[in-house]
Amino acid sequence: MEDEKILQMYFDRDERVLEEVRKKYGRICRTIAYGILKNSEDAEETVSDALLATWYGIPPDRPSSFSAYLYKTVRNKAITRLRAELRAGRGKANVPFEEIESFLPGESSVDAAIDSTVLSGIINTFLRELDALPRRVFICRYFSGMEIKQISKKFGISQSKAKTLLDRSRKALGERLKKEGYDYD
Amino acid sequence: MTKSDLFRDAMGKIDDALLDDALSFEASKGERLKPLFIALLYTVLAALCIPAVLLISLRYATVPGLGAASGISGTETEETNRYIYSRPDKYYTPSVIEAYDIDVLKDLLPRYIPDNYVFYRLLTLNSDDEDNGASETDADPFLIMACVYLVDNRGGAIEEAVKNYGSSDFVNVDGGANAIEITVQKKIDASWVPHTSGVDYSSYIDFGDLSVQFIESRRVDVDVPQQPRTKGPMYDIDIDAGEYTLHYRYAAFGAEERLTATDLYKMITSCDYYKNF
Repeated sequence: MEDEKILQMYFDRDERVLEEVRKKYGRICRTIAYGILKNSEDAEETVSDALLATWYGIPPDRPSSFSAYLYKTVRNKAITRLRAELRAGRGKANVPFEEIESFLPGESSVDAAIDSTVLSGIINTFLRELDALPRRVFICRYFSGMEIKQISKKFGISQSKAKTLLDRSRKALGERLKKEGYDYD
Repeated sequence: MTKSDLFRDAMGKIDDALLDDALSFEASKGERLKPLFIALLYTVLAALCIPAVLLISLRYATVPGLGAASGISGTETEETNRYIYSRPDKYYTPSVIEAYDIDVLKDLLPRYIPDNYVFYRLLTLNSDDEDNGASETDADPFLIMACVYLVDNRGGAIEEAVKNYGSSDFVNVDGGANAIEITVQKKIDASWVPHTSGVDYSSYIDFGDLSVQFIESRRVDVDVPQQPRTKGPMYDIDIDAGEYTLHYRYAAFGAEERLTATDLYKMITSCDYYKNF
């Protein structure tokens, strides 16, 4: 089913749309949620929460890209859940985000006031300049927390190649951030 | 807030198109299987290459003592090695191959060449010699090995050989700087040798600068009427260290064969005694 039709079902308040969305995007959504939470049951619940959130979000929202809207919703729900788990002393910190920390300039702790939107802008520009494959690999790893094995399978590349691509991209991003003056010091 | 938190938040705001492109992308089935095919290809290549390398290594390997020490090297040695290694039976165990090593041979010769062994073997030859001819298997392995040994050690080893052979009731050894003569003369009890009334052996080894000649002649008087031989085969073995060929001539039949080092070792190792050794 086309995304346009899916959106129309949302606007028509047709509850069957949730099943359609789950049918079309369920697997990717579960991958994103699992990549962050590393727990299948939590991931499944998070996807359900995210679908419910889209039900209440659309309308009034009318995303230009429904899939991206859905992915971000799932991710946000997963991160919210992860934070709650961490606060409760359960769960574990997400490796992909930790592995990139050393490539980011500045101190380990930064002022919360620093707007992630600025950083996001730089990252977007950086990603657009990357070739398709390293860009896709980077996003799968750092947006949805996919495992190297999953990435290699998804893109039909060896695990070592996936690691190499990620390593080069991390270094390049670190350089870019320094060049842009994005230093937390 | 940590840097990773900040980065995580920033990644949550990346461009929709980029996100959609990355997450919606699925490699084709062929592309997904590509790493598997590559791994399989490497496995197959490894499976083919490793045995090939091993075979090539064996092909060009040198049996200790047979190559450099014996002067039998190059193609002949490779052929010999190939022959030896291609026989996975117990007679080609490393210990046997090591016997060709000159140092091992030095220990082996005094124990097996002199005295009754030589004669036992010759008797065996004679008993098998029903047609008064000789086959390749008739040659005494350790005498031939002695020749190789002596060729290997031209000069100083001759004296060693003289000492090893020594003199006994059966063997008389005399030698100088460049020559050694081994004479074996003994009337052997005919009861030991069926169909044979008497045996006369003489062996002569002559060392030149580059070659050794081992001449064994024997006269066999056979008391079997239908085989009235008065003269048995004569071995004229000429091992030339330069050409690595061996002439093996049966004087009685006028036949002549040229034996390579490989043939020599085939001959040695196919002897009954050697197999029982």
